[in-house]
Amino acid sequence: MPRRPHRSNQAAKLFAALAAHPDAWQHGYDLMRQTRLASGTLYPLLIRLHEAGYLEARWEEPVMPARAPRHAYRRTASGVAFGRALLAERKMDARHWLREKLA
Amino acid sequence: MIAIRRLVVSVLMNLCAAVLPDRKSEWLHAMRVEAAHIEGRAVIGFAAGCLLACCKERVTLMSNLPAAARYGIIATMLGYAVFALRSAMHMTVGPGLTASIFEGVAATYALAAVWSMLRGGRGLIESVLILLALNLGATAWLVSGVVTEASAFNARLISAVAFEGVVVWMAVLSIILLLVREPVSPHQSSEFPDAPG
Repeated sequence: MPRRPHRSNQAAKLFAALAAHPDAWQHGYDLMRQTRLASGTLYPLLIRLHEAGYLEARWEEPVMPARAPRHAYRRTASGVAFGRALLAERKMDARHWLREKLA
Repeated sequence: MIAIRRLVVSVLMNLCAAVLPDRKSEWLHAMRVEAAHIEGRAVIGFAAGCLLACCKERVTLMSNLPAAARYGIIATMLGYAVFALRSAMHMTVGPGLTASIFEGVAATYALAAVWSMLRGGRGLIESVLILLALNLGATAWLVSGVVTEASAFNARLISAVAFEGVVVWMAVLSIILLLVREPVSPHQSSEFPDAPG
Protein backbone atom coordinates (compact mmCIF):
# COMPACT_ATOMS: atom_id res chain seq x y z
CA MET A 1 0.00 0.00 0.00
CA PRO A 2 1.54 3.37 -0.93
CA ARG A 3 2.41 5.64 1.99
CA ARG A 4 0.58 8.92 2.35
CA PRO A 5 3.12 11.68 1.85
CA HIS A 6 4.18 13.90 4.76
CA ARG A 7 1.90 12.17 7.28
CA SER A 8 4.45 10.18 9.25
CA ASN A 9 4.96 10.35 13.03
CA GLN A 10 8.14 12.29 12.36
CA ALA A 11 6.25 14.88 10.31
CA ALA A 12 3.71 15.20 13.14
CA LYS A 13 6.53 15.79 15.65
CA LEU A 14 8.06 18.42 13.40
CA PHE A 15 4.76 20.23 12.90
CA ALA A 16 4.13 20.12 16.66
CA ALA A 17 7.55 21.71 17.28
CA LEU A 18 6.94 24.37 14.64
CA ALA A 19 3.46 25.06 16.02
CA ALA A 20 4.91 25.62 19.50
CA HIS A 21 6.61 28.78 18.17
CA PRO A 22 4.19 29.82 15.43
CA ASP A 23 5.95 32.87 14.01
CA ALA A 24 9.54 32.07 14.92
CA TRP A 25 12.18 31.00 12.41
CA GLN A 26 13.84 27.88 13.81
CA HIS A 27 17.21 26.30 13.03
CA GLY A 28 17.79 22.65 12.15
CA TYR A 29 19.62 21.80 15.37
CA ASP A 30 16.94 23.46 17.54
CA LEU A 31 14.28 21.42 15.73
CA MET A 32 16.35 18.27 16.27
CA ARG A 33 16.44 18.89 20.01
CA GLN A 34 12.74 19.67 20.24
CA THR A 35 11.55 16.75 18.15
CA ARG A 36 14.32 14.33 19.20
CA LEU A 37 14.66 13.42 15.54
CA ALA A 38 18.14 12.62 14.24
CA SER A 39 19.59 14.78 11.47
CA GLY A 40 19.30 11.79 9.12
CA THR A 41 15.53 11.89 9.59
CA LEU A 42 14.98 15.61 10.06
CA TYR A 43 16.73 16.97 6.97
CA PRO A 44 15.03 14.69 4.40
CA LEU A 45 11.75 15.68 6.06
CA LEU A 46 12.60 19.39 5.88
CA ILE A 47 13.55 18.99 2.21
CA ARG A 48 10.28 17.15 1.40
CA LEU A 49 8.10 19.66 3.26
CA HIS A 50 9.94 22.60 1.69
CA GLU A 51 9.47 21.11 -1.79
CA ALA A 52 5.78 20.55 -1.02
CA GLY A 53 5.42 24.22 -0.06
CA TYR A 54 4.60 23.56 3.60
CA LEU A 55 7.82 25.14 4.88
CA GLU A 56 9.72 28.25 3.93
CA ALA A 57 13.44 28.60 4.49
CA ARG A 58 15.74 31.58 4.73
CA TRP A 59 19.33 32.41 5.57
CA GLU A 60 19.63 34.36 8.80
CA GLU A 61 22.36 36.87 9.39
CA PRO A 62 24.90 35.52 11.92
CA VAL A 63 24.58 36.56 15.56
CA MET A 64 27.93 36.64 17.41
CA PRO A 65 29.79 34.35 18.05
CA ALA A 66 28.41 32.69 14.90
CA ARG A 67 30.41 33.42 11.75
CA ALA A 68 28.18 32.17 8.94
CA PRO A 69 24.51 32.74 8.12
CA ARG A 70 22.27 29.95 9.40
CA HIS A 71 19.39 28.31 7.65
CA ALA A 72 16.05 28.79 9.41
CA TYR A 73 12.61 27.31 8.82
CA ARG A 74 9.01 28.35 9.34
CA ARG A 75 5.61 27.06 8.24
CA THR A 76 3.92 28.63 5.24
CA ALA A 77 0.16 29.34 5.31
CA SER A 78 -0.52 25.98 3.67
CA GLY A 79 1.92 24.38 6.13
CA VAL A 80 -0.05 25.81 9.05
CA ALA A 81 -3.29 24.33 7.67
CA PHE A 82 -1.65 21.00 6.82
CA GLY A 83 0.04 20.78 10.23
CA ARG A 84 -3.20 21.50 12.07
CA ALA A 85 -5.04 18.82 10.08
CA LEU A 86 -2.22 16.33 10.65
CA LEU A 87 -2.03 16.92 14.40
CA ALA A 88 -5.84 16.73 14.72
CA GLU A 89 -5.83 13.47 12.76
CA ARG A 90 -3.07 12.09 15.02
CA LYS A 91 -5.07 13.05 18.11
CA MET A 92 -8.12 11.26 16.71
CA ASP A 93 -6.01 8.22 15.88
CA ALA A 94 -4.67 8.13 19.45
CA ARG A 95 -8.20 8.44 20.90
CA HIS A 96 -9.49 5.71 18.58
CA TRP A 97 -6.62 3.40 19.59
CA LEU A 98 -7.25 4.05 23.31
CA ARG A 99 -10.99 3.43 22.91
CA GLU A 100 -10.29 0.13 21.18
CA LYS A 101 -7.87 -0.89 23.92
CA LEU A 102 -10.33 -0.08 26.67
CA ALA A 103 -13.28 -1.76 24.93
CA MET B 1 40.63 16.18 20.27
CA ILE B 2 38.60 19.06 18.85
CA ALA B 3 40.81 19.06 15.75
CA ILE B 4 40.17 15.33 15.20
CA ARG B 5 36.46 15.88 15.68
CA ARG B 6 36.44 18.69 13.13
CA LEU B 7 38.42 16.52 10.72
CA VAL B 8 35.87 13.69 11.01
CA VAL B 9 33.03 16.16 10.47
CA SER B 10 34.83 17.62 7.47
CA VAL B 11 35.30 14.15 5.94
CA LEU B 12 31.62 13.28 6.54
CA MET B 13 30.49 16.57 5.01
CA ASN B 14 32.72 16.03 1.97
CA LEU B 15 31.11 12.61 1.55
CA CYS B 16 27.73 14.37 1.78
CA ALA B 17 28.82 16.69 -1.04
CA ALA B 18 29.74 13.69 -3.18
CA VAL B 19 26.43 11.93 -2.55
CA LEU B 20 23.86 14.73 -2.54
CA PRO B 21 22.30 15.58 -5.94
CA ASP B 22 23.63 18.89 -7.30
CA ARG B 23 20.31 20.72 -7.27
CA LYS B 24 20.16 20.29 -3.48
CA SER B 25 23.58 21.75 -2.78
CA GLU B 26 21.99 24.56 -0.76
CA TRP B 27 20.81 21.98 1.76
CA LEU B 28 24.37 20.73 2.05
CA HIS B 29 25.45 24.28 2.85
CA ALA B 30 22.67 24.51 5.45
CA MET B 31 23.90 21.28 7.11
CA ARG B 32 27.54 22.41 7.05
CA VAL B 33 26.71 25.73 8.72
CA GLU B 34 24.50 24.00 11.29
CA ALA B 35 27.34 21.58 12.12
CA ALA B 36 29.59 24.56 12.82
CA HIS B 37 27.16 25.65 15.56
CA ILE B 38 27.11 22.34 17.41
CA GLU B 39 29.45 21.90 20.34
CA GLY B 40 31.03 18.71 21.66
CA ARG B 41 30.71 15.13 20.48
CA ALA B 42 27.14 15.65 19.27
CA VAL B 43 28.53 17.16 16.08
CA ILE B 44 29.83 13.75 14.92
CA GLY B 45 26.37 12.21 15.26
CA PHE B 46 24.89 15.21 13.50
CA ALA B 47 27.32 14.92 10.57
CA ALA B 48 26.80 11.15 10.31
CA GLY B 49 23.04 11.78 10.21
CA CYS B 50 23.58 14.36 7.48
CA LEU B 51 25.41 11.73 5.43
CA LEU B 52 22.45 9.39 5.89
CA ALA B 53 20.10 12.21 4.85
CA CYS B 54 22.18 12.81 1.70
CA CYS B 55 22.13 9.09 0.87
CA LYS B 56 18.32 9.13 1.23
CA GLU B 57 18.16 12.08 -1.17
CA ARG B 58 20.35 10.22 -3.66
CA VAL B 59 18.09 7.15 -3.44
CA THR B 60 15.03 9.38 -3.90
CA LEU B 61 16.57 10.87 -7.03
CA MET B 62 17.58 7.45 -8.36
CA SER B 63 14.09 6.07 -7.75
CA ASN B 64 12.71 8.55 -10.27
CA LEU B 65 13.21 6.04 -13.09
CA PRO B 66 11.22 5.72 -16.32
CA ALA B 67 8.54 3.01 -15.97
CA ALA B 68 10.02 0.91 -18.82
CA ALA B 69 13.39 0.70 -17.04
CA ARG B 70 11.70 -0.11 -13.74
CA TYR B 71 9.69 -2.98 -15.16
CA GLY B 72 12.73 -4.16 -17.14
CA ILE B 73 14.75 -4.45 -13.93
CA ILE B 74 11.87 -6.22 -12.14
CA ALA B 75 11.68 -8.66 -15.08
CA THR B 76 15.43 -9.28 -14.70
CA MET B 77 14.90 -10.12 -11.02
CA LEU B 78 12.08 -12.52 -11.88
CA GLY B 79 14.22 -14.03 -14.66
CA TYR B 80 16.98 -14.65 -12.15
CA ALA B 81 14.50 -16.24 -9.73
CA VAL B 82 13.21 -18.62 -12.44
CA PHE B 83 16.76 -19.46 -13.54
CA ALA B 84 17.87 -20.22 -9.96
CA LEU B 85 14.77 -22.34 -9.29
CA ARG B 86 15.19 -24.32 -12.52
CA SER B 87 18.86 -24.88 -11.70
CA ALA B 88 17.94 -26.14 -8.22
CA MET B 89 15.35 -28.54 -9.69
CA HIS B 90 17.81 -29.96 -12.21
CA MET B 91 20.61 -30.55 -9.70
CA THR B 92 20.89 -34.27 -9.23
CA VAL B 93 24.61 -34.63 -8.48
CA GLY B 94 27.06 -32.79 -6.24
CA PRO B 95 26.91 -31.67 -2.60
CA GLY B 96 23.36 -31.56 -1.26
CA LEU B 97 23.32 -27.98 0.00
CA THR B 98 23.94 -26.53 -3.46
CA ALA B 99 20.34 -27.05 -4.59
CA SER B 100 19.05 -25.52 -1.33
CA ILE B 101 21.27 -22.46 -1.86
CA PHE B 102 19.87 -22.03 -5.37
CA GLU B 103 16.34 -22.27 -3.94
CA GLY B 104 17.26 -19.58 -1.42
CA VAL B 105 18.66 -17.42 -4.22
CA ALA B 106 15.41 -17.90 -6.20
CA ALA B 107 13.34 -16.89 -3.17
CA THR B 108 15.53 -13.80 -2.58
CA TYR B 109 15.17 -12.62 -6.17
CA ALA B 110 11.42 -13.26 -6.17
CA LEU B 111 11.10 -11.30 -2.91
CA ALA B 112 13.16 -8.44 -4.38
CA ALA B 113 10.85 -8.34 -7.43
CA VAL B 114 7.71 -8.29 -5.27
CA TRP B 115 9.19 -5.57 -2.99
CA SER B 116 10.09 -3.50 -6.07
CA MET B 117 6.55 -3.85 -7.44
CA LEU B 118 4.91 -2.91 -4.14
CA ARG B 119 7.22 -0.06 -3.09
CA GLY B 120 7.75 1.63 -6.46
CA GLY B 121 11.01 3.27 -7.52
CA ARG B 122 12.38 3.55 -3.99
CA GLY B 123 11.74 -0.14 -3.32
CA LEU B 124 13.49 -0.99 -6.58
CA ILE B 125 16.63 0.92 -5.60
CA GLU B 126 16.58 -0.67 -2.14
CA SER B 127 16.26 -4.12 -3.74
CA VAL B 128 19.07 -3.52 -6.24
CA LEU B 129 21.39 -2.24 -3.49
CA ILE B 130 20.57 -5.20 -1.21
CA LEU B 131 21.07 -7.72 -4.03
CA LEU B 132 24.39 -6.10 -4.92
CA ALA B 133 25.51 -6.17 -1.28
CA LEU B 134 24.45 -9.83 -0.87
CA ASN B 135 26.30 -10.89 -4.03
CA LEU B 136 29.38 -8.86 -3.07
CA GLY B 137 29.37 -10.38 0.42
CA ALA B 138 28.95 -13.92 -0.93
CA THR B 139 31.73 -13.42 -3.50
CA ALA B 140 34.13 -12.00 -0.90
CA TRP B 141 33.34 -14.82 1.53
CA LEU B 142 33.76 -17.57 -1.05
CA VAL B 143 36.90 -16.09 -2.63
CA SER B 144 38.53 -15.51 0.79
CA GLY B 145 39.25 -19.24 1.04
CA VAL B 146 37.19 -19.88 4.17
CA VAL B 147 35.12 -22.39 2.24
CA THR B 148 37.14 -25.46 1.22
CA GLU B 149 36.66 -27.87 -1.65
CA ALA B 150 35.27 -30.40 0.81
CA SER B 151 32.41 -28.14 1.94
CA ALA B 152 28.74 -29.14 1.91
CA PHE B 153 28.08 -27.20 -1.30
CA ASN B 154 29.71 -26.55 -4.64
CA ALA B 155 31.71 -23.44 -3.69
CA ARG B 156 33.04 -22.83 -7.20
CA LEU B 157 29.59 -22.84 -8.76
CA ILE B 158 28.10 -20.62 -6.04
CA SER B 159 31.01 -18.15 -6.19
CA ALA B 160 30.66 -17.97 -9.98
CA VAL B 161 26.93 -17.23 -9.66
CA ALA B 162 27.61 -14.62 -6.93
CA PHE B 163 30.28 -12.93 -9.05
CA GLU B 164 27.90 -12.90 -11.99
CA GLY B 165 25.34 -11.27 -9.68
CA VAL B 166 27.86 -8.55 -8.75
CA VAL B 167 28.50 -7.79 -12.43
CA VAL B 168 24.79 -7.79 -13.34
CA TRP B 169 23.65 -5.56 -10.44
CA MET B 170 26.58 -3.18 -10.89
CA ALA B 171 25.52 -2.85 -14.52
CA VAL B 172 21.89 -2.30 -13.47
CA LEU B 173 23.00 0.37 -10.98
CA SER B 174 25.02 2.10 -13.71
CA ILE B 175 22.00 2.06 -16.03
CA ILE B 176 19.86 3.56 -13.26
CA LEU B 177 22.42 6.34 -12.76
CA LEU B 178 22.35 7.07 -16.49
CA LEU B 179 18.57 7.08 -16.71
CA VAL B 180 17.63 9.10 -13.63
CA ARG B 181 15.62 12.24 -14.20
CA GLU B 182 15.66 15.24 -11.92
CA PRO B 183 12.12 15.58 -10.53
CA VAL B 184 10.68 19.03 -11.12
CA SER B 185 9.20 20.54 -7.99
CA PRO B 186 6.64 23.36 -8.25
CA HIS B 187 8.71 25.29 -5.65
CA GLN B 188 12.08 24.51 -7.23
CA SER B 189 12.36 27.77 -9.11
CA SER B 190 11.97 29.85 -5.97
CA GLU B 191 14.24 27.64 -3.86
CA PHE B 192 16.56 29.65 -1.64
CA PRO B 193 16.37 32.98 -3.43
CA ASP B 194 18.42 34.57 -0.64
CA ALA B 195 21.06 31.86 -0.32
CA PRO B 196 24.53 33.15 0.55
CA GLY B 197 27.17 32.60 -2.11
